Amino acid sequence: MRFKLTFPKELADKPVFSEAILRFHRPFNIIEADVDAEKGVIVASTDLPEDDVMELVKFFEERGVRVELLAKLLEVDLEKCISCGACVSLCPVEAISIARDWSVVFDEEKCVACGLCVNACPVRALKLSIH
Amino acid sequence: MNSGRGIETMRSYEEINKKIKHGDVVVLTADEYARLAEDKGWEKASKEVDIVTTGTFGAMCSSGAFLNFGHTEPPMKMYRCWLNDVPAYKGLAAVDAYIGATAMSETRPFEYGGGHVIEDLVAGREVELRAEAYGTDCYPRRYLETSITIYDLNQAILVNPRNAYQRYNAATNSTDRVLYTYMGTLLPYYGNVTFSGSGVLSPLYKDLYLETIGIGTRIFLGGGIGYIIGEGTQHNPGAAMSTIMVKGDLKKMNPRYLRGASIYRYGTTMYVGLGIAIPLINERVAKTAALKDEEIYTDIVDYGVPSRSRPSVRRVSYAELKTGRVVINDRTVRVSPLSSVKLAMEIAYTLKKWIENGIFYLSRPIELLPLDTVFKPLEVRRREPRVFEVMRRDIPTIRSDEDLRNTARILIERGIDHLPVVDDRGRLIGIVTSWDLARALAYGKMRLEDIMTRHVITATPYEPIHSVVAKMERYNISGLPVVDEENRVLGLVTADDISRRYVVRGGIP
Ligand code: SF4
Ligand code: SF4
Repeated sequence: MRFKLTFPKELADKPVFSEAILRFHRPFNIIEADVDAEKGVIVASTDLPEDDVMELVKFFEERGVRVELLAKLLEVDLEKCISCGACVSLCPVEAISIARDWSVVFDEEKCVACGLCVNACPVRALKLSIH
Repeated sequence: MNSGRGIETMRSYEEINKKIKHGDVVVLTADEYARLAEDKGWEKASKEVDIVTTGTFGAMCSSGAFLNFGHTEPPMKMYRCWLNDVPAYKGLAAVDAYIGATAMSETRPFEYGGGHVIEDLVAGREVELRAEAYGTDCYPRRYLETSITIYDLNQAILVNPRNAYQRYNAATNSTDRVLYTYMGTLLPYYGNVTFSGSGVLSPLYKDLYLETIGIGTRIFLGGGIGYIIGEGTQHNPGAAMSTIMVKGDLKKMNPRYLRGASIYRYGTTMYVGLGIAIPLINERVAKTAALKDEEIYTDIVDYGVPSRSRPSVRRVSYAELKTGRVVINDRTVRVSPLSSVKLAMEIAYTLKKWIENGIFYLSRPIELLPLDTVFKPLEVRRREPRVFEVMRRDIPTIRSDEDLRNTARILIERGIDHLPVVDDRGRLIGIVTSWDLARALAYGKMRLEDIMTRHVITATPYEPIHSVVAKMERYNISGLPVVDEENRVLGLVTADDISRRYVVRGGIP
C-alpha cells in the first residue's frame, strides 16, 4: 500500500514517522520526500494488512498529518505483454522480476514511476497513470 | 567436423516418421532432454528419445512478407505503395510487394512499422493500402486508396532472410549516459546487461553442426508451418553464429507468434516465434542437443564503444544470464532477456504436441547449409573527410581566472562564439560561449569559473566529420574544441565551418 503524508510546519520537529514505525512494527519504504517552508511531504509504502490501513490513517490524522492513499502507478496490459523481460533490468526499485515459469511479474506497489520500463517495452504493454 | 555429416546411424527420418504415424514417437523439449541427459548421460538418453524440440521468440529485424494484392479495375502497375502508411518495397511486378519488419510508418515513425502491419494482417485486421503509379498503356491507373485484409490477398508469404541466430552477444554500456540500442535500453556505468537467444532451447545451437537443419527442413514458424530455404544472411558457423533463411504461409500463422515491436529510439521490428524439431539421427546430434545453459557461452559486449568491433567485457554462460544477475567489475547488475524465454518454451512444447498428435512430420533436408562461410565487414573505400581538414587552428584560449569583460572582448574581436578554457599546460578544462556571457550578465555572475561549462564534448583531429555532426545534434551544441591525446587544445570545429565547406558540394557527408 502506498500513501502520501503532508506534514504542516508545526510538526517539523516531531518524530511522527518514527513513532508510526514503532507503533505498527512494520518497515516503511520512503519513495519520495520533500520539504519546503510551509510543509513536508513524504510518499511511502508498506505491506500493512488491509485491516490495519485505517488504523494507520487514523494514527497520522490524530497527530495533524494529512493522509492520502495512492492508487497503483503502473498499469500492465497482460494481454499484450510477451514476457520478453526487456523491462526487468531497468527498474531501479526491482518492482519487475521473472517468475519461475519465465513469466514477467510486476509488483505495482513498489513502482516509483520513473518511466524507464514504459519506454523500453517493445509492445507498449506498460503505462503510468497520472496520480 | 565434416565426415559423415548428416549420417543417420541412430535412426532415419523414415523410421521416425513411421513412429509419428503410429503414435509411439518419443519427443522431449530441449530443456527436458538436457535434464534427462544430465541424469543418465546423453548416450542412454538418446536411445530413448527420437526428437528434441526447440524454440525461440525474439526480435528478428530481417523479416518480412511478400504480398500479392491482385489487380484493380482498371489495372495498375504500383510504383510505390504503403500499408498503414508504412512503405513497402515495390521493385517487383505490378501488384507484388515486400513489406519489411523495420520499415517505419511515415506518420507514426518509431511507433508503428512493417512488423505491426504483418501482425495486423495475421490477426485479420483491416489495413489501409495506398499506391501510386506513373500509368502505362497496359496499366493506366495512377492512384489507389483502399483497405484490405489478409483474406483479400492472393498470397501472403513470410520470407525472412535472417532468423534464429545460433547465439548472440549480450550487451552492456560503459559510458556515462543511457544508450538506446537494438539490444534495448542500456543503463550507464555497466548499469545492466541485456541478452538475446534462448540458450538451452536455441534451435541452431542444439544441432551445432547443422546436420539435420538444411534446405527443406520443415519448422514451426509464426504459429504455422514454415520451411528453411537456405543459410541466412551473415551466416557465420565458425563463430557459432549460424543463421537460417525461412519462409511460410502467413495466412496460416498466428499473431501470438508474430508481434510488431518498437525498440525505443531505435526503430520498429518484429518478434518472430520459430521452433525446430531435431531428430537424433546420430551421436553428434544427440550430444549437442543435450548441451545445457551452463555449456553455452557468449560475450558481454560494450555497446558504449561506437564501433563495429566492440570490446568484450567478459564471457558468460546462458545459465548465468538466466539467473537474472551477473557480476561485472565486482558489481552485481541485473539482466534482461530481450527474447521471451516463456514463449520459446511454449513454442518447443507446442511443436512437441504437434508431433505427438501426428500433425507434424519431419523432413530430411535436401541440402545441408555451408559451414565455411564467414561474415565480412564493409570497408569504406571512399575517403571520408576528417576533423583536421575543417577545424580552425588559430583560435584563442583563456585561463579560468580571466575576467568577464576581457573574455567578452576576445569573443567580439575574434568573431567567434566558443572560447576554450585551459589550465597552465594548455589542457582543456572548460568552454565558454557568448550565450554563457549573456547569462552572466542576466544573473550578475562575475567569475568565468562560475559560468563556464566543465563537461566539454570534444573532437579529435582524425575523427570523421559525420561523427562530429552526430555529437552536435545529440548534445545540441554548435562547436567542439579539438584536442590531442593529452587533452591539449589544437583547434575548434564549428557547425558553421562544416556547412560552409560542404553545403556548396551538396550537403554534409
Ligand atoms: S516505472 Fe520505473 S519504478 Fe515503476 S516499474 Fe517501471 S522501471 Fe520500475
Ligand atoms: S518489456 Fe513489455 S512485453 Fe517485455 S516483459 Fe516487460 S511489459 Fe512485458
